[in-house]
Amino acid sequence: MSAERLIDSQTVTAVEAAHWAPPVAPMDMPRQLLEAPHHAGVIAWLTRLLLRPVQHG
Amino acid sequence: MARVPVPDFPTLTLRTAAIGFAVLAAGAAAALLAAASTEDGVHLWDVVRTTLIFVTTAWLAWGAAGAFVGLPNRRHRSVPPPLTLPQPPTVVLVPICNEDPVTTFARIAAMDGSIRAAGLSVDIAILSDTRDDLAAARERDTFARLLAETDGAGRLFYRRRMDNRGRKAGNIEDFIRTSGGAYHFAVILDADSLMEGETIRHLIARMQADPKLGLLQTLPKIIGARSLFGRAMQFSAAFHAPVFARGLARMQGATGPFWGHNAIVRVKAFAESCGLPALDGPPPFGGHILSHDYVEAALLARAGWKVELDETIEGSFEEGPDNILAHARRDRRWCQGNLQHARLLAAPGLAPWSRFVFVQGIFAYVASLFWGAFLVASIAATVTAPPPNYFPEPYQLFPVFPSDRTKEIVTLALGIVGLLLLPKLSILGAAALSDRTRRFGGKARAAGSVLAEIVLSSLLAPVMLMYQSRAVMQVLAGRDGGWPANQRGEGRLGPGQSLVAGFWIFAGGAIALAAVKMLAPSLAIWLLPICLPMLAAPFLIWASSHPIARGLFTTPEETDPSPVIRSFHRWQACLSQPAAQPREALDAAA
Repeated sequence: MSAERLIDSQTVTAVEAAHWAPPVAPMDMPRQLLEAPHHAGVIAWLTRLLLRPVQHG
Repeated sequence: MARVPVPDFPTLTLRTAAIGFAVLAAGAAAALLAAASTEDGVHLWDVVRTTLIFVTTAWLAWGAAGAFVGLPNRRHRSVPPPLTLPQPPTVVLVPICNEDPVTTFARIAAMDGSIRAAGLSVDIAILSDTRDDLAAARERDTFARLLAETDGAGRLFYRRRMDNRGRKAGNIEDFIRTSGGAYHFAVILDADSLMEGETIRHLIARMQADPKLGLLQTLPKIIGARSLFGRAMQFSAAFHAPVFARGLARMQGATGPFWGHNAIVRVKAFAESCGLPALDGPPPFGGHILSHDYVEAALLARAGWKVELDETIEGSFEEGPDNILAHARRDRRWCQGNLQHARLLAAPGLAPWSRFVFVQGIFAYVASLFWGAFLVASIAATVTAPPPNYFPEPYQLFPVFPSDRTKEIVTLALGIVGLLLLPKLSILGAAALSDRTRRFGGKARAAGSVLAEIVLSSLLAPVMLMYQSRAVMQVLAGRDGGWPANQRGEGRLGPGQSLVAGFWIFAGGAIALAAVKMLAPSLAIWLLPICLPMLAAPFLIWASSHPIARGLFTTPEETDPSPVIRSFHRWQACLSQPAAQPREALDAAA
């Protein structure tokens, strides 16, 4: 790789080179279900009751 | 994977014993206060303060129980199993955001050398979330030099994210989505973390030996502190924390903690279990999950993976805040993150212990408010108490004086002080017996350090209580504290800065003391241990930020630094100097 790829001639600072990046090996990371469904349980209902008005207020 | 790990019999027994101890201690405190306060009849404020003393004492006793459970040493120190070859591909992840690149990359150079010296082939990926372009340019310059000076091309990586979604958790997630398939294990660090290569070898071997282990957390020792405040925390982390952590490890079993750094994860387990959604609604309760680590530990356990803490693993380090303001800033973020977990208490499928851990995290902050409420309720109960009735019966010849309940109140006060001090004194006693004090400068010096730490933490407790109470109220009022950059390095504060930061606490202490003196003078003496440190808050903030000479708060890492710490200092000195031939050095990185 040439120096021009690494150094911006205007600013004389290093430029992120392609080989600096970690290897490309994609992996799936599914989003997890964290909040209880609306119909589930007293704790979920209480949590929503206690916290929602505050955060919107 | 199987579902949530089931706790074994010893774990269940310890949990039951610790909870039982907390409930018993709280019950005793409530009984003493009830006996002392309801002699003239049961009034509303008496019920309120008795309830509050039950809750706050239960919290204190729970903390003490953790230390008592951790006091006995492990029968066997964890001996690392042999590393099975071929060594699984492993990466060390260092998420950074607006850090000083010279110091941060010096740590990476030191760890890279230590990893190679341990005979490992491990990549290190710097995951930058730095927003400031100038700071990012400095990162790139320093990284180019790091590559040149370590010949690290192909094993040291740097990438900068332009979209900072999800902050640190999002940064790690972005890496896993892009590069996770290349690695079996990832050691997750903070920008101020340091880890020995041998420690990483140990972690990899442990993960290899137990295919169900999803995450193994180490107990990082604090290093590099210079101020009175920082060195007291550093000493406490080295002397007390291993015992508390052992207690925690015993009670948590396979549903252990994740503290966000200085831990190894199985990439597959992390990827399949820990994709965090943003919670609906705005911050502080909605949006991205701030204290993601506790949630990730709970999610790993939900998916059937073991999450363990091993406090005996050496060679794992981090730095801590060097003054109260930096500590309070970090604590504000943690407070918001822990209170946000209230949204997750009912998350489906979590282990009961994971939910309990969330409750503990919430309580760690709400407890400050409860202590404040207890003081207010005690004053209100005294002010609103009916005057003594010396002649309760008609035609009574001699007056009936109310019986003296000082004994109950003093017993209660001593009990609470005991819950605060006994764990630390027990740890000192156990350390003296096992000769662990030798590494802390000998028995006398260790005892002096423990006592000085107790005095300092007692003086600072009301100041911390005020900061925590303010943080809780800000969060409950819907104020988002964001994620301010950590302050690292020199933490000395000026008198003006300390006065501005601590004046509201001083004013609060003065108003409280004046009000008590006017409304309930008999209580004033009981409030002095709280109000006097509040009056001195600006001075305490200023004085504790100043460097102190070594001697007090000696730790093993100071007297005999680990090789990676020595190497870090050498690299820091090296990278602080301009490169002899910067252009050529950068070229060499190609």
